[in-house]
Formats: sequence, C-alpha cells, structure tokens
Amino acid sequence: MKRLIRIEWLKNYSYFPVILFSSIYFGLVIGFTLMCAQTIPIFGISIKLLDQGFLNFPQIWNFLTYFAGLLKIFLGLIIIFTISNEFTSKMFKQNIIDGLSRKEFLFSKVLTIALLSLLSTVVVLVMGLILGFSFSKSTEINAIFKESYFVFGYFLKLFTFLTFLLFITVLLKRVVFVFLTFFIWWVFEVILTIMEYQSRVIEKFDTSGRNVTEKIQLITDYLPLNAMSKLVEEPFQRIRLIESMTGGNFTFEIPYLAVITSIAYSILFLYGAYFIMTKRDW
Amino acid sequence: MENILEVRNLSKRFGKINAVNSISFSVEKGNVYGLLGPNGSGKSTTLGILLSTINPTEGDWSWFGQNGTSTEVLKRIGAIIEHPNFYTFLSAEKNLKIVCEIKNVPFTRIDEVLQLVGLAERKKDKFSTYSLGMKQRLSIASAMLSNPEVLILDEPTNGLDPEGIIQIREIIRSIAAQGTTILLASHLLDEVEKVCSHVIILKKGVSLYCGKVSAMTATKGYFILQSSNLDELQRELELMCVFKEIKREENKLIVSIDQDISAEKLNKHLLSKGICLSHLVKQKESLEEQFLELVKTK
Repeated sequence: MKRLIRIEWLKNYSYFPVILFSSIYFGLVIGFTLMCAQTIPIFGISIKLLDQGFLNFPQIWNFLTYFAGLLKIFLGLIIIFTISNEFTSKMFKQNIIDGLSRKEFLFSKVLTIALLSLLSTVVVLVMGLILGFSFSKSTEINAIFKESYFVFGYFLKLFTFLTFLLFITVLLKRVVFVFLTFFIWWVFEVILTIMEYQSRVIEKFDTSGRNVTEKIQLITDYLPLNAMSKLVEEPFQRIRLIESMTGGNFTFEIPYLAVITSIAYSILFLYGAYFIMTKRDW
Repeated sequence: MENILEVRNLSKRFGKINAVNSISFSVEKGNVYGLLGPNGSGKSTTLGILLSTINPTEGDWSWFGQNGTSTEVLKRIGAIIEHPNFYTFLSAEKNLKIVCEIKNVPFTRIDEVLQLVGLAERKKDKFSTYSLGMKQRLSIASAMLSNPEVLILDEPTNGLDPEGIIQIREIIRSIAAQGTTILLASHLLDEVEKVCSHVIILKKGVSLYCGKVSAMTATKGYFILQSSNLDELQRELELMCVFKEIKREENKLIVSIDQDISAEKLNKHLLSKGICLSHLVKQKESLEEQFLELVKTK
C-alpha cells in the first residue's frame, strides 16, 4: 500500500491540474468557513450566519458539510484530469507493461480518492471545531458529538462522488467526454426526479398553510447523485423550523438508506472500472 | 537451450480482421530475435498480447515456463512499445523513479541506466524537452532498470535520424553482448540483418519462418559474371550443369548456384575453355531478397 501511495505521489505532486485544483479547493473551503463569522451579502440582503444559529453545535456540522460539499467538483477535477492523463498519454498501458497489475493501478487510484476525501473531511472537521468553539452557544460534549454523523456522511459523499467520476473517466478516457457525460447524467437525474415527484407526490397544506405533504420513498432517490446528496441534506429546513417555531422540534435521523445506496454504488463503480480495464485492449 | 518464451497457436481478431492468425514460435535464451514483417502484419498486436495489454482471441503462451503473463514475469522483462511513453511534465529521473517503484528496483539503478544510454546529464530536465532520439534512449534506460532477462523492442528506430539510429543500434548491441535475450520487432530488414541472429517472419498475421537468419533459405548464393562475349559464356555455363538459373541483366550474367562451386574453380574452368572473365563476384542473397522471396512464394 505504501508503495502504491509513493507511486501516486510521484505521479501527481507536480502535475499542474493537481496543484491548481487542490489549491482552489482547499482555499475555497477554508476561506468560506472563515467567512461564516462575517456578514455575507447575498442578493443584496446582508445575512449574518451567526445570528441564524448556523454556527451552533450540533447543526454546524450539517451546515459546514453541506456547503463544503458544494465545492466537491474541484476535487472531482483532480481525479478526472489525473486519471484521464493516464489513458490519453498511454501511461496506463506503460504501467501495465512495467509490471503494475490492473488491480494495483485501480487500488492506487482508490487510495488517492480516499486520501483526498479524508484530507477534505479533516479540514472541515478542524474548521468546524474552531468555529464551533468560537461561536456556538453550547459547547457541551453531547452537543458537539450529537450529529457527528455528518462528518462521516461528508466523507462518504466525497468518496462515492469521486469513484463515480473515476468510473466514467476509465470508461470514456477524455476529459471533455467525461464532463459532457457527467453533465448529461446530472440533468437526466434531475428530470427523472421531477417527473417522479410530480406523478407520485400529492402536496398537501393544512389550514395554517404549513406543508404537511406525506413523505414517501421515491425510486429516484436510488439514483447515484441523488443518493449522494441525501447523505448530507440541506440545512435550511431545520433552521426555518426552529425559526418559525411552527414545525416543533427538528429531529435528526441518519439517512441509512442513502448510506447503503452510496456504498453500493462505490463498489459497483470500482468493479465496473476494473471490468473495463481487464476487458479492453490497450 | 532453455526456452524463454513459447507461443502456441496465438490468434487475435479485431472484428472481421485477423490481426494475428494462429502463430507459433519460441525464443531461446541469449539470442537476438527479429520479428519481421511489413506494416500491419501483426507484430505489435503479438507483442501486446505477450505483454498482457491485449486480450488474445485464442491460443496460449508461456514465459520462463509459466503460462501467460503475470506481473512478476513483466518485472523480469524490459519492453519498449511504439512511442516512448512517459509523464511529459516530469523529469527523466522522476519518471524512472516511478518505474523503479513499480518494478521494486532501488533508485540507485537510475544513474546506472542513464549512463548506459548517455542521458545522465539531462536527468533533471522535463521529458517534454527531449528530442525523439533522447526519448527513445530514455525508454531503453527505463526497460533496463530491472536488469531484465528479456528485452522487447517494438520499432526502436522508427522516426529517428541516422545518428539516432546508430546510437540505438549500438546500445542494443552492447545489451545483447551481455547475454540479454532480445526480441526486436521491425519492418526494416536491414536493421534485423544487422543485429539479429534469429528471425521470425510474419505476414498478415501468419508466421512464415522461425529460425536462424543464416539458415533462412537453402540457396547457395549466386555469381555475377561479365565477359567480352556473353553468349559464349552463357553457353559454357549451361554445359556445366551446376546452375539453377542463368539470367542476363544488361551486360552481366546472374547465375544462381545449384550445386556448390567456388569462384576459383569456376574461373579456372572457364579459363581452360578459353573464356576470360572481366567481372566475377560470388554473393549470398541478402535478407531482403530472401524475405521478399518468402513473402512472395507463400
């Protein structure tokens, strides 16, 4: 394993796209979290996140992991560019001839993905602790760890997302095709989700105008990008609930279904990539 | 002799095209083999299969007595395929470090192999700044990192200038002199003739010949003769009944030998018959002529 990490390090540490996108990514994540304590002008309205209760334990985890998750495409770019380069410059073939097995090659990429996801998770964790201890109303141990699921959920979200990109990069090899396919797939999932929602969910409101629509399990929740986004749900709902005081208490539930679906997809994508590597002529 | 490689009935179809059609050959330890054939004869496909990058349709092979190509086997082989493949944004040294890690070879080998191909001074420079000749030499260096028992070269002098070709050939010769088995694919007959002791000839995916270069054809060579009176000379030669064929080309006679006869003996005989030769050369067919003969007849 150390050998594979050394190989990946030698290959990547001075590759321009890696340097570019990782500095943009980690710069944005750190910069963004640091800005949370400040007043941010959004659409002309100044919102002070601190006043909205975002920075309290435990919901700070939900908030930070959700917003850091929006930047994951920059990590995705690192994966797309490095893996695409292996194929377009025929280095995959050369690695094989030099004596690296297909399994080792794939495993080295999985290690890179895991390490990148882990690094990002650690950064978010540290930023969360710093912000939380500076601004949270409560710093009880119980409150800090209560929703630590989000840290795991964030890691799994990144890992699944990057294995998805690994799979389409192995399948299509060229960066442009990977972008196009990813974009088309994304639009495809959105359209399917909207279609299913409209045909199966009947929206209901009670007398006070509150949305009391019955929650049902959508089939489109099993699609890969949807499953990933369900791992870390958007945090506004709970903030609104607390604010309006109409919805009563927000109770957090671990989205087991999304966790299992995401893990299953990761495994599927890795097997798929391995299958393509062995069946294709290089 | 120990067989390093044995190939049995290997086939590869790409759709309707038979790139490799049931070829069989074996490679003995310590020899330099030429895999010879025109473009599209299946040389690169064959090497690709033997190096595990292409899946064969049929057939099997064994390296060092083991079936197929395992990663352990690949570490004992040095191979250069088509163009030199390296990470363009990395220096020669860093590229070779990656290969060292893959092959489990200590980094100290890097300077040794760079010395061998004369690139030690440029090792810190990015690969993208190298000339084609240097890139090709770097791939030989890379292939030599693990002190391989077999070196596979696919068209190593393709696209090089004469100086580059000579450099590569000298490197190949010095590697062969150390006893490394070499399998060299080429469409350049002259190249194979210069460096190889054995030859495997492919045409449209079929192997036509496998064996020593010297034993390729059974012909005993031919004479080129000139004299003031060619008609008389031809008549006399026909009477001797030791020649297969007598052809007239401009003012020369090309005479293929059937039963072995030395130039001295022929000269003596003709003199005794009162024919004076102004030109007498005895030659063996070059590999090129033999090759064309083989490709034509089969």
